[in-house]
Amino acid sequence: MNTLNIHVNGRPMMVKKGITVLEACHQAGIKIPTLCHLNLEEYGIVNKVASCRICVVEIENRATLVPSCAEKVYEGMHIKSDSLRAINARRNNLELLLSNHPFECLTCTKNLTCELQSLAEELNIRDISFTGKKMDYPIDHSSEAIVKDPNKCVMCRRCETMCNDVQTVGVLSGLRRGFDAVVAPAFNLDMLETSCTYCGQCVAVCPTGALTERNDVPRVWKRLSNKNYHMVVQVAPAVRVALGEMFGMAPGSISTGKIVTALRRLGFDAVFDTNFGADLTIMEEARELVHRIEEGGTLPMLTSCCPAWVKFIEHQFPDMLDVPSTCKSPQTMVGAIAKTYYAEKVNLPSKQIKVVSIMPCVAKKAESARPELSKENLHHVDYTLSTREFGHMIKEAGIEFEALPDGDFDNILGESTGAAAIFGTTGGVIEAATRTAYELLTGDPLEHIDFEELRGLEGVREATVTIGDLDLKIGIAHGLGNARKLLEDIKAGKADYHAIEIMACPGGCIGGGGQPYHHGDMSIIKARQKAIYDIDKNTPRRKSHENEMVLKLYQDYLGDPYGEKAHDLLHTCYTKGERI
Amino acid sequence: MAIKSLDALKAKQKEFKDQVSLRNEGTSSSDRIEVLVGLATCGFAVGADDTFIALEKKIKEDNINAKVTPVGCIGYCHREPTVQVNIPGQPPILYGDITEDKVTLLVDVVLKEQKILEEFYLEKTFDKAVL
Amino acid sequence: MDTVVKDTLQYRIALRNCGLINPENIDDYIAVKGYEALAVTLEQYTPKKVINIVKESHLRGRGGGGFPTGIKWELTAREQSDEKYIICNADEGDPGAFMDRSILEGDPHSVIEAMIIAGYAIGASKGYVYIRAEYPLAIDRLETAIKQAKSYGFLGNNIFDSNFSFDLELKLGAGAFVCGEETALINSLQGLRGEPTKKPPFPSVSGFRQKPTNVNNVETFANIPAIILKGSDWFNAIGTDHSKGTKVFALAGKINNVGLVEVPMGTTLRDIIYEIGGGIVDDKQFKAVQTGGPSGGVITEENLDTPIDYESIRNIGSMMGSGGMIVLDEDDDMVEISKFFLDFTQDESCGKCTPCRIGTKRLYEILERLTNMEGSPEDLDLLEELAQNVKDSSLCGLGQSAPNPILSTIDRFREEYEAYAYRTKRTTYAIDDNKCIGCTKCSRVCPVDCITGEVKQVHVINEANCIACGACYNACPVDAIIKP
Repeated sequence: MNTLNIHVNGRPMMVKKGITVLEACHQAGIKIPTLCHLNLEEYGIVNKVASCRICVVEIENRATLVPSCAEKVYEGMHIKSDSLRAINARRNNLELLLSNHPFECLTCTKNLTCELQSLAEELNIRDISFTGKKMDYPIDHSSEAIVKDPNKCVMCRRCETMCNDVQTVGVLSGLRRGFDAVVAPAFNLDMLETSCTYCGQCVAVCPTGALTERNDVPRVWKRLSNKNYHMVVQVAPAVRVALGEMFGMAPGSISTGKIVTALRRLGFDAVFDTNFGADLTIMEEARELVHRIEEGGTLPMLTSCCPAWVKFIEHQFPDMLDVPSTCKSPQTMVGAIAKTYYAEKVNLPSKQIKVVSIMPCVAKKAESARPELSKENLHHVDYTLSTREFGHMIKEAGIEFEALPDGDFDNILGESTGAAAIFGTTGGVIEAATRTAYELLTGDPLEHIDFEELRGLEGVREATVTIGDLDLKIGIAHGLGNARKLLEDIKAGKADYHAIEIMACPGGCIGGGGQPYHHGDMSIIKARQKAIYDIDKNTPRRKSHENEMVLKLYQDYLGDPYGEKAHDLLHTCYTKGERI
Repeated sequence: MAIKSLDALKAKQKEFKDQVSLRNEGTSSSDRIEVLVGLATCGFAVGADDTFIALEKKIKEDNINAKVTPVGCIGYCHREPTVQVNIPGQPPILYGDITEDKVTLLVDVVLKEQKILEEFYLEKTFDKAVL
Repeated sequence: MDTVVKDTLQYRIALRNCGLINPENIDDYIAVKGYEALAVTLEQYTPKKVINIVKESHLRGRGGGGFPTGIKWELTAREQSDEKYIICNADEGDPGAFMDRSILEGDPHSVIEAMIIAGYAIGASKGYVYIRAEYPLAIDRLETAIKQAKSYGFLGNNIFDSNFSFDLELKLGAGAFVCGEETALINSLQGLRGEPTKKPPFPSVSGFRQKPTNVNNVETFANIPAIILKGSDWFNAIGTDHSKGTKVFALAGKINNVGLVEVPMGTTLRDIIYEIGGGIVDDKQFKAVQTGGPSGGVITEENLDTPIDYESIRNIGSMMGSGGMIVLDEDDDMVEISKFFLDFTQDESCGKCTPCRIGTKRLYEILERLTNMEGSPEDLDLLEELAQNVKDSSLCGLGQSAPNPILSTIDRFREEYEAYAYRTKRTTYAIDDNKCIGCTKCSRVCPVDCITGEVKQVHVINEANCIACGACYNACPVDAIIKP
């Protein structure tokens, strides 16, 4: 028996066994409001703490109301979702939440994207019956990336689920009890003092403005209006497949050309592509891998593009810091080249060049601030904006994004291949590296460019790619919890991979903490992934080592890939951290 | 020493026949008196531990054939410290408010003279499940 | 007076050994047939038989819920699992309740013995006593008892030469009231935040370490050895139709004989309060008795003759709870009483679900407004509506029962709430013109000099300055002072 007979509001229906009351009601065409509930089941992410009590319904013969998100249907169940008792309870509970919420909606980062706000509208709340004390915690501005305003916390615990269950970072958890209960690091430490990786997945799922990225937009406006600076901007691969969502475009719309035009109109002097940096990364990383294989270096080699992942290994596996590639990330490579090679080309002193990055990421903000990612006391990247912040700038400038003509990136840091495009999704970096490593190792041209076996959304994947007489064993993990599993296997000597790609965010950068909010809709992330592969497919050159401008950079300036100058500019080191 | 069977357990029970009958009915084959002092949190709160020490000391000093045993709370929290005196041949009697300063009086009147100390007499007892 | 008066109202099963044996000496327990129930169980009974005895005894959970213990055991026993657990809930936390503490301090072995029997019945080899750290003496005595039980082989491998092995560990709670709720208790035991999770799944299916777990309260366990040895018929003969056996109550408040009593189910409150408890302090007027602690309600004069059991006490607007019984007299202000309990629950809420986290706070704030004479009739409506919602939509028993003190007192003493809501409540003392003899005693004791009057003339209290200290009331020789 895989079906059950139930009644929803008096109407009989048949539903699949194992579904929740919420899902059953949805099938019956009834939308029950939810708040704490979050279901990204394909990533194994389900938050059903049933704590907000917004989705309560009546079940016959049950003394109290039942949270529909966490209650499974059973044979003969009678659900009443539209009784006054249930509706009043939902309103009552929402009013309670609102009675303890700062009324700063007009200036809140989450204005119009806040789920609590939408809920107030949905439940037609026009008046709040309750008055009383409100939470009064200091706002945590300590980190370079994430701002935590506990007074906006509704204790939905989604962030906790992400931080503990999905990412296994364990920074956020319930603190104190009763009215003072709030989600925070242990001992209410500042985020800066913890082992937070700034992956931003807490920000991505927070229904309110309790967890947001640091707002760097005002600083960028200020620099843009100062004509003494030569403003350089770069855009990450995953931004172009998501930004359109903020302007009503369908998820997965590719808006690369519009982005370039928008950036020029905002006043940037040079518009570069982080994809160039991605190709450059592959040139270095593929060499490094070949070097490690041929010279007996530490294997497996782990990718190092993702700053949250880097911070994760530094804090959680401080004795394994020889496994990540020493390559800097694409954004900092572009920054480094912009302030050296490009500065020379345009005949400007490095300090006059300011590099702004548009990233799908929150952790990139913290990465930019790392002291070692600099040269002569100048950070490679000066300001990092999330996709969302960039969208807000476009709106602020009154630019009608949807109507913009396409523009082209500036040379030479504007050229890129399909291999770079796929950096935006899980599996992409390693596929790009494999394309180049193949030709490096065999000297033969690669016929089948699409490594389907490396693609997908499975949390941990592995594949063996035959390159000449070498069986290259590759591992892929996205989500830090999955990364932990792989690292523990490596530590225990149970994994014999040559190379492993790790991205901190579920789905990779397409699901990054700085992307337009997905509000728990998995199809949005899938559409972004499809768009990424479409870009790859439609790019004439699809192997990083075929990027002519990258090759020119080596020829003109860097010398040999993985050579001395490349090391100086494009490689980095890691620092042991603590687990707090 | 581990007890490994019901029979062994029952044999052990037998060793304490006198103790049980003295506490329940006041009968014993020995003539040793037993004094139970309620030493639970409620007793401690009003100094039952001092009562206990003072009783032991006084009994030793006066060379009385009696033993003082700490027990839990009998429920009469309003009359703590409570002390039950079990004299062989007499029904067990419970006294309340036996703070340290009443110990001499209790020993002199109840244990030595074997009279009832009316002022501190807790008149009520109760039924219990006897297994 | 040479005969001892029998308190025939009491009958002690759970407290049978308390005050009569040395809790730190296992031999004292063995002397009164301690561990005999365990020996009989292991030598003569199958697990199924044990469960049947407990089921047929109709013993119900003494922690307050009243769920049939035998059925709980059966539900845990029928789960297939490589490991199961027995937990003793000793996180007693109701204000004014100390039944479990007394049992653990007075007769720890009875609980240990019962846990081993329960382990055998459900197929668990490991047990935990979750006890609040504020009970140092109970912890101490339990530790001693566990050591002694181990040395006699009652804990450990092949108990009584059977194939059954069982081990017991103490775990200390950090003082959160909510950890008395079984799912919160299990979370705390696992080192997680002490907050409840949604039921189902029940612990009998997925509890400690996601394994089938049976959680019983201290008093429930203390009944078990007696039931095993004396049989279910014996137990069934005590009590009422649906509630068998006895219940331990902790008498507190304005009652003469503060203490612990154990009476058969079906005893009336009048007997408990007046016969066993010795009546109200200073012979004041009885007003109500609060049972069930912060989850319960008040019972008034009209229901004092109701025979008390799980059902009847619910029908008269309160609940059995764990056994706290606080007697209130004419001086007690019922709005202040519910404010006291709400202050407790809003502080002890774990903060997980909205109605309990914010709702109990708002309820408390409304009560505060009322008692500060800053409330309104609308506040009273709001109070009732919110109380109903917190009860209806909270996640666990704590939130679902937190509004009970309010709802129950509003039901019985609405006029007291209204006096605050309409601000007609007098908050100062006054003098009865007809009784005052002008002795001046009141004006002499008044600390704020607000009583005036000539000798042998009627005195007057200036209400604007009165601080309601009550000094005049105590000083007046002719009862002429009217209380607020």
